[in-house]
Amino acid sequence: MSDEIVWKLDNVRAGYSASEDRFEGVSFTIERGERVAFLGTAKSGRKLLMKVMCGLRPPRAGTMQIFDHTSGADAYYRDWDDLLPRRIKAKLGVALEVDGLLSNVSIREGYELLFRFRYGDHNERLQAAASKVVDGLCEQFSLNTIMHKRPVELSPSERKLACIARAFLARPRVLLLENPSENIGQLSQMKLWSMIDAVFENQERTIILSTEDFRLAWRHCPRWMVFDKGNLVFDGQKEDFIKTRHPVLKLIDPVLFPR
Amino acid sequence: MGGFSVKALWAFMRSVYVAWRLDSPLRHKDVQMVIYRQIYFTGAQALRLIALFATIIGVLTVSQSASQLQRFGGSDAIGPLLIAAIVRELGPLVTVLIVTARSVTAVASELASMNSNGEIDSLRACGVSPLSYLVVPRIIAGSVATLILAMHFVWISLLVGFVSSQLIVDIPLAKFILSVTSSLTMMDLFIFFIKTFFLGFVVFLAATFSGMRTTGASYEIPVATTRAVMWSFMTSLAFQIFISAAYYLYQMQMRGWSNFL
Repeated sequence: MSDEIVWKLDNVRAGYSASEDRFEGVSFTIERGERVAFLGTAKSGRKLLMKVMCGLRPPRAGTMQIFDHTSGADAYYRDWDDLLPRRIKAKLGVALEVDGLLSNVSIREGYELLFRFRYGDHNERLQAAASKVVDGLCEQFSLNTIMHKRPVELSPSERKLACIARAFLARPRVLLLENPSENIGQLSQMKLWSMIDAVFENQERTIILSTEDFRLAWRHCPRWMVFDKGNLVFDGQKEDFIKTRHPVLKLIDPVLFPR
Repeated sequence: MGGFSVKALWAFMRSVYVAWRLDSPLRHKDVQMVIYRQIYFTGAQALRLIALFATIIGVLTVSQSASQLQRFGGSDAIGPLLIAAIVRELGPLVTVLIVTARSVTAVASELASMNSNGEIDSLRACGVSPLSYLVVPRIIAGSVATLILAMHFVWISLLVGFVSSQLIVDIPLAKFILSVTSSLTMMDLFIFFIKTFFLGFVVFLAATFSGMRTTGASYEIPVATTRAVMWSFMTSLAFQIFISAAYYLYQMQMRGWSNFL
């Protein structure tokens, strides 16, 4: 793991409305190559934190450093399309809980559209490159049978898979996955994670996994951050969390360590 | 005056060319495709509906006015009346009302449902500006399509006006055309183009703003649609009144206040 800072949050607050903070004063640092799990139950503030981290929502207080870019509370009054520069967004692969697949085009057309917006469509060479990358991605994620279908024609698990595959479109340096196990069966999950491991092998790429699935987090992320009612209650190695006497352990203990 | 017009036109074309050459989102093929599709939906698919309304308005305007004008021996005034009623007032207004009913509702609900489905967030997360890809092309296409539809409305109304005038009062074709063309000034055309283009601009601005303003809940889709329609009606009526009032004040000034008092 290198010392390059990917995210550094300092006393960040954010909320969905102007009057209420969903989480208060969150501070942490994530370095390159780390695999971090954001854990917590509903209303813990994980979802909003993910949105803040990938530039979809501005922080209302505090500062957030992402790679070499720093944004603060002044971002709240800027255009939300420009919360993060495009060069920073190009380094992120984001798969949020709501898949957000473009409903009026097929999966393949949606991927190609995003590729063209990122790299341009000025000549045939770029268009051919877009087709090649998209073909490779569909092959890698076994999406060949659904790539010409629109999202409305897909099952929830196919939609989820297509959403996660889209995060790999630009070969991201950081992968943010929100509830990736939702709607996906056990076998598909194993296949998905073996594929992620294969793609990220020896590349020191960062993975941030936001989930309620402690078993998934136990398997794939050595570092855990546990959120409760908008507060970061634990940040450390997963084994250390087991040693704490946090109430949530009563729930997850039989899940992680079935007798 | 002519030299100034040529220079102004040249400067405008050059600035459009420079904007096009730069990394403008409008150069992007996907953005252009959104513009073409929106023009097709708002413009081409509404041509028959506009033709129907233009026919009704043309017949009503002429049937109500021509017989009255003939009673007072003023059948020559049919041209100025059609120009004032159809080109300056009813053409832009009726067109924009039809566009609001057909397309503004569609655009507002489409953007609101995209917001609700997380599509706008996913575009933002992938580095695609929703403003460049969803909003600006729809406003440009909507403004252009409204202008095309209003032109379509005007020529059909005038044609139907002539045909129905033949049934009510006997005006020869040459006299009718002379009456209409002699009444039509450059200022009328200018007002027509400006009014129609900006009415289209305003209603599509209202539609896109209302659609994008939702927070993502599905119950906000009908609210966004209703809000877009209300904003469109109010802003287009206010704009129509403002332009008409400004035009008549301008006419009064040009012709002298005493002629109007």
